[in-house]
Formats: sequence, C-alpha cells, structure tokens
Amino acid sequence: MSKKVTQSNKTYQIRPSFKDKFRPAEAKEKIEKILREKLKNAQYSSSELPQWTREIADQTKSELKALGKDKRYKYLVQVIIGHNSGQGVRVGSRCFWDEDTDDCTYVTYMNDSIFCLVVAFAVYLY
Amino acid sequence: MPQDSVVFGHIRQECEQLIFNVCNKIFGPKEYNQTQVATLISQTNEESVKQLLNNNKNFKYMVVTTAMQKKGTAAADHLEMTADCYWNASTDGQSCVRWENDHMFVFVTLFACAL
Repeated sequence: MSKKVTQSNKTYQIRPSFKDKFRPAEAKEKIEKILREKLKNAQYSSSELPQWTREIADQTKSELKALGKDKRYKYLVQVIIGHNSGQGVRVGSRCFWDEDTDDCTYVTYMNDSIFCLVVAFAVYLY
Repeated sequence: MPQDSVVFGHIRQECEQLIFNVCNKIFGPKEYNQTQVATLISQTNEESVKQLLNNNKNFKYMVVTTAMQKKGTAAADHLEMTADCYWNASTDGQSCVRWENDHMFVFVTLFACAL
C-alpha cells in the first residue's frame, strides 16, 4: 500500500524574513521627501493646517505600504504641525513591543513659520 | 471580561482614565521648563505603559506624549495632530488624551495593536 504524502503550504510565520524587515532609515528618507515637497515655503494658516496634516498622514501611510515590507506589518503614522512662534514644544514616545520585529522612525521639519513632526511606527502581526 | 479583552474598543475608556490620572500625578501644576519637561514626558510615558500593561496584556502599546507651552495668543496656541493607521480596525485602536494646566498643554496619544 503506498501512502500519499501531501505537502502543506502553510507557513506559520512569526518573524519577518531579513529582507522584508521594516528599515527605519528607508522610511525616514521617504518621509523627508514628502515633507520637503508639501511644506516647502509653507506659511502658517489656521484654515489650511488641518488639511496639510491629513494629506501628509495619508501620503506617509501610502509610502510605507509601498515600501513592500512583509505583508503582516501594521503601520501607524502621527503628524503634528504647529505655529512656530517661539513657544516650547517637547514630544516623547514609549512603546511596548517586540524589539526584533517592530520599529519606529521620526522626521522633523521646521521653517520660520511652522514646525512639523511625523512619527511612523511599524508593528508586526504574529 | 475587560482584563482579558482582545478588542481595544472595550478597554478604551479605562485606558484614557489611566493616562489622565498619570498626567495629573506627574505634571500637576508644574510650569513649562525646557529641561524639566523632557524628564516629565519620559516619566509619563513609562508610567502610562506600565499601568496599561497592568490593566491588559493583550496589546502592543505605543504612547506618544506632546507638551506645548501656553503662550496665550490664539495664533501661537494652535497645534494640529493627525494619525493615520493601517491595521485591523476591529481589534486595534487609538485614543488621544488632552490635559492642561495654566502653563502648558499635554496631549497623550495611545496606539494599541492587538497581539
């Protein structure tokens, strides 16, 4: 009696492969480019600020997805824009995640009228 | 049971309350001082994550704290924050806690991704 051996195609991945791992430096470059394009010579305007934040957040998220990293990554992007009027601002973050697979990157942009901070997180789903 | 929940929507209220209490405790009536505020933010982040984990271990938490000095003029006190996320909308979630005293605004954004 011959036994049929079936090959299973399931791979229970709990780690991204090395080449599919999220690289903060790559993401940082892309985000810097977006900020330069969008905010070059931008002047503070209280009506346009909400629109800019939304556009930057959407574009950043699309770029991160387009980086082509492992499909099991979740992306989170936060954009903060404010009027550069000499007040003090401080931003800090803390995360509870898996050091091997997850990472974050941040990009700041300033001109004499506005300041902008983009924080992007990539979290792996097991 | 809230302790075992794997959906962020169920525990959102508790998390917001925890973070608000942490801000109250750590920032209190303090003034905005460049050097001091960096430590305060660090402490807030640490304490928040610790308490969130105590509450519910089924998530990866990302906490971003922003402190902005109050300058008193309408134009100066304008800050816009937007978050965009690519995740599982049924289990993951975010929440933003706004806290202020007479000298500064504190915003704590929490992202929680289900494990």
